[in-house]
Amino acid sequence: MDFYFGEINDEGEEHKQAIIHVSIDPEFNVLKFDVDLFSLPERPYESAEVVVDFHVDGIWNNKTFYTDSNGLEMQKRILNHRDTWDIVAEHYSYSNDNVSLNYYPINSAISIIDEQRPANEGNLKFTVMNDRAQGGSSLYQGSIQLMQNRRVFGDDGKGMDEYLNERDAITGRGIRVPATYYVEVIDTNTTTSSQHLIHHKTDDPAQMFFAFDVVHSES
Amino acid sequence: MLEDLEVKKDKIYVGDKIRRDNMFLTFKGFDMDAGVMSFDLENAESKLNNNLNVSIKYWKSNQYYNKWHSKPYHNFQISGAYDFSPFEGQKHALPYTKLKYGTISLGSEG
Repeated sequence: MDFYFGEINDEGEEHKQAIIHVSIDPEFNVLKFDVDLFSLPERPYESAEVVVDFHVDGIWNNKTFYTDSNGLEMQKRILNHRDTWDIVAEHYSYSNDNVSLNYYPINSAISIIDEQRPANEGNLKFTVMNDRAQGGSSLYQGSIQLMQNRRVFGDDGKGMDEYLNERDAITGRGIRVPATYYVEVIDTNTTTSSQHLIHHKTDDPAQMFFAFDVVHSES
Repeated sequence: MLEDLEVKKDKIYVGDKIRRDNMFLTFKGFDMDAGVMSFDLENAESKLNNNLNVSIKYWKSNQYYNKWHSKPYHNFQISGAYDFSPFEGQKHALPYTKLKYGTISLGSEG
């Protein structure tokens, strides 16, 4: 399945284009979303930080999610919570921090578990695996979002005096960013997760070598 | 023959599905303005049936344009220095773009 996105801007040109190719992975029982995100629009006052959002109905993850630690074991995360200090008391007064303080680096996977599912109905786990390091979070019940591209036409006032405006060297337009997401919804009581296999497949793909000029000896 | 390699595509309709082994993905429709696609994901192995929504959204940046510096916005420098910080008071990501149409590939590789 392919889905095409886009809008017409004030100049009559198409912008905000994206293509999402949806398929089922041929090796593992997971969905594969190839998201091709075209240039983000260049508008000084409309900087955008674009995310791909996945939502599964009926998962009550109770503000808890799990992210990989540098591609290794999964770490438990709780919204607006840190184990060693009161983050709400220190940062919650800045409302724009409520989103970013819950974003974590996602190197290979982020998952949520249905915390309210009766034990006799299994253990529902929803995992999104990415093919590159991204920022990500689960800000709402049943949802996972991963950031694919950002274009910010303003300095953050932290001393670097640079703007986040990556351009294609040839076209001069904003960079086009493709990314692949593998989505898995399983009952962990009956099914083994493909998370680590997908991780290996993404990080260590099979290397194919072909010889086209082989000479057979007649002797 | 090269033309044999061309993927045949049809406009997608609600109820169209792709499958592989024990997994079925059925297209349930989309909200074009919000850019949300809905699917029914069935995993026969796990005996699970879930509604999956996928969309592209964006956070409006908390810019400091002209607040700290008076330079024009385009200095052509690339940077990874900018912290992710959505516009103050923004609690939800907004729809980024509109969905125009969808297609489905015919054949076993769909």
